[in-house]
Amino acid sequence: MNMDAHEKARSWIDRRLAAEATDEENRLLDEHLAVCAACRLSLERSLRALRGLGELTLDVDPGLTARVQAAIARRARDLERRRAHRRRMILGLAAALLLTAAGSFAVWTLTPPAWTAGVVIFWTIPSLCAALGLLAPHLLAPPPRKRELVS
Amino acid sequence: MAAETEETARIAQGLRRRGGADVALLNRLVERYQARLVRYLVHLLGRREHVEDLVQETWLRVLERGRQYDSRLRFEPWLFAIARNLALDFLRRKPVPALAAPDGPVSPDPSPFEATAKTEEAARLARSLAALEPLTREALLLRFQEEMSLLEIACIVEAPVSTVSSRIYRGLAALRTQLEKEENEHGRP
Repeated sequence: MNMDAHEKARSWIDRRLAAEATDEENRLLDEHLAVCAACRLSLERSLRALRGLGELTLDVDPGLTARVQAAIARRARDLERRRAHRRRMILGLAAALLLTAAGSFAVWTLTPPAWTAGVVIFWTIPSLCAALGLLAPHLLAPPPRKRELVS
Repeated sequence: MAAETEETARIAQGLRRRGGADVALLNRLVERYQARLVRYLVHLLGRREHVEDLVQETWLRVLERGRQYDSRLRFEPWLFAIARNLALDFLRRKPVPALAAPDGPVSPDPSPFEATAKTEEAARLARSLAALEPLTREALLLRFQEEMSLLEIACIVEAPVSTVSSRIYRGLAALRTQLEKEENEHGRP
């Protein structure tokens, strides 16, 4: 039997172990295994190794689960506080926008042009700049980098 | 299969809950997956130091980003992907020589699995695994230890299925060669 046949058989063994072998590959492999002790040993060795993988265990610190659960509870409370804070911020912002819109409308319709210019220069433009300044970090955030195990 | 889909949907519902993830559900998930997560991270880093911090950080990410969980996938691959990304960020900050240079000399210290192996055969397997290239070892472990599908592994390692597949074949061949070498050097149990 030439080396090619054994190499092929070993690649079929790998495909069978990965549950990717076709029926034809399985049939050819079985035929080869019936007459080749070396490849039978190879299959047996691989099967033994894969069964052994499930038995590789570690003793996990019994306190770790409790510590993780406590950290989750702390973070959940923190997130809830942040959400409540954000809700208050949004409500405040909505109220401010409403008052600004109503105030601007009143200034625009009820006061002379000089007052209108003053409101635009000293109120509307600074407000827009502040809003852009607050939003910019979120808009300009770089996309996440692709990670690799080995550089 | 239907039970698994139902379970996945229940997890997704709990993680995406309006007003924050269901903490009781998370506590149950921690109990269920903790040991596997620790094992995966120890394999990935090749040591136990910092693994507990990474495990904790992983669960906190699950809590914070539960809304991003796609219930078309099982929970485990999503969890392992988070853990992997955190481990890679950690390695970028503090490179581990064995991972940074896969072809370099293998550390003389026994791996955590070898140190806790209960039989000589398990110790031999742990040594053989430790000698594999990290990406190959990872694919092999996710497939045969965690019993994930090729597609799930591809999602975790952010690589095409064909790449994962070839890593597994390469891993099987390398593991077999390593075991043959080990058996020749130390004899069969």
